[in-house]
Amino acid sequence: MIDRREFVTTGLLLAGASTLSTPVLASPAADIGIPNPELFIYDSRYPQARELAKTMGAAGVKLIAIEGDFTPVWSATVQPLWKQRPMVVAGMTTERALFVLQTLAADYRMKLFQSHVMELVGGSEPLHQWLLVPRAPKQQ
Amino acid sequence: MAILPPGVSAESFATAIQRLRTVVGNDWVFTSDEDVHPYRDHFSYIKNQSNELIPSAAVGPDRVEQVQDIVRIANEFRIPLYSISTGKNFAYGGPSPNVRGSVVVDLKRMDKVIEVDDKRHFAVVEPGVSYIDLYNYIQERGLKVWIDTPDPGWGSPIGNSLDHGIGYTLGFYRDHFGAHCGMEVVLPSGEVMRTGMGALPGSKSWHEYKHGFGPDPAGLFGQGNFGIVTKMGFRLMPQPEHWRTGMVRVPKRADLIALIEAVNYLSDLGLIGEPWYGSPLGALSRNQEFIDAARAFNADKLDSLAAAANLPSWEVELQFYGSAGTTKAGWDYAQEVITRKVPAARFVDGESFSVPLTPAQIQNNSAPYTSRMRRNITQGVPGLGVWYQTTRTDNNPNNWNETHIGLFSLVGRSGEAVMQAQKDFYEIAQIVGLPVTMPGITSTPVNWYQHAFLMGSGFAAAGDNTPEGKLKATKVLRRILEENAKRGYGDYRAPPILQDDVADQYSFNNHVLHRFNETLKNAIDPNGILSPGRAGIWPVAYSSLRGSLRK
Ligand SMILES: Cc1cc2nc3c(=O)[nH]c(=O)nc-3n(C[C@H](O)[C@H](O)[C@H](O)COP(=O)(O)OP(=O)(O)OC[C@H]3O[C@@H](n4cnc5c(N)ncnc54)[C@H](O)[C@@H]3O)c2cc1C
Repeated sequence: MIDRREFVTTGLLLAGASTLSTPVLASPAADIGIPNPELFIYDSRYPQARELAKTMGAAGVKLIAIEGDFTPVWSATVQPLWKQRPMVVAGMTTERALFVLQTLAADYRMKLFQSHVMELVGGSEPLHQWLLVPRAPKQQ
Repeated sequence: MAILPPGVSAESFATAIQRLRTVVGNDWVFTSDEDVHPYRDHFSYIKNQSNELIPSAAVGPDRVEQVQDIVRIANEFRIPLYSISTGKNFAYGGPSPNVRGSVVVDLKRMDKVIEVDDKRHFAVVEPGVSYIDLYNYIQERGLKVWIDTPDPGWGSPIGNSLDHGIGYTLGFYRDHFGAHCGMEVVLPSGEVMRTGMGALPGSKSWHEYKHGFGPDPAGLFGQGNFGIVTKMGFRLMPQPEHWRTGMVRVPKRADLIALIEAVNYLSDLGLIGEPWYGSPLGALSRNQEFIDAARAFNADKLDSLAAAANLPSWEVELQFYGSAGTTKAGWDYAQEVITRKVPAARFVDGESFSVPLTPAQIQNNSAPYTSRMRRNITQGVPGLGVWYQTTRTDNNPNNWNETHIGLFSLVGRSGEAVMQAQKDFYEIAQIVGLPVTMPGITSTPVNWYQHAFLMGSGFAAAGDNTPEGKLKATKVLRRILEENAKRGYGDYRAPPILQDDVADQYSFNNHVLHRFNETLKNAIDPNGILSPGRAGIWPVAYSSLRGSLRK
């Protein structure tokens, strides 16, 4: 089982070259328990993302690989799951993919809980490591 | 952060929210900050400012009767509503309202594809059906029709068409509002109205003949605030057997005039889909001689520099829908027509695919030339790939000016008009103090609407991301709009922060059109509850807010 803290830490450890300027768990929500991710969406063009996917996969998290564009997996794979219920989704993608995911997730009662940019060596488009979580249930 | 609708007390609002909960259920009334957050505009130039257009709440009905009840409650409590379909109107305000504190009526739960007829070629959908949903519905059932999608496919036929959105296939279909046929609307009174043949109970042709009998008010619901649309019919293109492209290149600057005439002719005969214009001379934009010639609009010099670099001045990529034979004949005929007008034109065969297309044919560009055309959208396949070209997000607010706010001006559909616009936009850029080094002499129009050209008004935002910087940039945009209007250019669409400005420019005969719209608005919606301020139409109840975003 991976917990949220472990997810983030694992990601950061694997990122190797990442430089952190802000505390990763700076959010005030950091102390709220978040269940393990059910999905890990990653940009398979990046070795860091592939590495983390291995760890996530070994822990039983469903893996969804994209190559930049999220379109190919949206209708067939992700939307049917999100239609069932909001869920915790972890990811390592470019910011552009994150924008698309975050916007779509909002339609399914999820929100971006955390995102952290990882500066990569070599000037490629930065990777973001992020966590989408269900929004709080409604109060009567 | 508790935001209230203007003029509504906290107590009264709480009662109204309670009433809304009884209509749609507790789960579908959103009031917390985190639930309201998705209804803010990520692209807003006034993000996090005290005047940001944040709603007070959102409500998600799942059927027409609920929409009617919501409207009645809003009338009772004098609460402004703002209806969205899929709410993805990025660059034009996203899901956010014109009036801070409005309650967003989010229609995404009304997501039924009611009908797709692939013999009579139309679809009928509810507001929450996205282009991606409609495409999937058609594919899953093997129906023989194509949709016409805007670039990001997560928008909806209803939301997009109601903001006069556009697509990329044949002219008739890419004007999305023009291609609608019959709608159902909840009026500000809460009554349900059907337009066209829908007004005739038992009609067999609601989605075929849109005019019905007598004046057709359908146009009022496009960029308007006269009702909440709950169903709409759209004409669909029959699935063609074949798709083909070809590139046309002409050597001289002045050839644009004849080229556009020829392409207009082909287009208006219904032979081609959207033509994609461009100028390969952009490659010379760092060459000082070229810059000097551009500044002087010296066509002879520009021509000689183009010839020396072995570059054509203009190109246009054409696309043909039909059978293998008709598309080939169409391409041959296009070459004949264009050669008659521009004997020096050169042609390169592009792609030639039979339909259904393979995923690779949809995504790839295997044309033997550099193409500007994005395949999937010309083939009616919705996607989200455009977001990999441009984006601005909460996570990275610093690239806020990398994407467009969406200012496209209508220019005449001729080469002369395009070249005049290039001059005008350069002059305007200088007047408003933009740091432009040369005129956009290579800028070309988009022919989204078959019978009209739109051109970006040449706005290059300065990279100041502070609130003051954004305010300054907004003022520059307003100045550009004013200067455009002085020269006869108006915009086709605008985000809420600029809608009053654009509306003001449609001022013929002492703003009679605007006054007419507002007279209707006040008569139909006496409490002014439906999307007040949209397109600059302010009902009396909210008229004090007119122009308030200019401050
Ligand atoms: C990079 C980029 C590319 C884009 N490309 C295109 C493009 O190719 N073509 C194009 O047209 N646009 C384009 N846009 C603009 C925009 O993203 C799309 O038009 C999008 O489809 C609009 O969002 P929507 O369909 O979800 O409509 P919505 O946001 O649901 O609706 C738009 C507006 O219409 C009104 N409205 C919606 N539903 C109703 C209703 N049921 N009753 C009454 N009023 C209603 C509301 O005022 C609403 O704000 C682009 C934007 C960006 C940033």
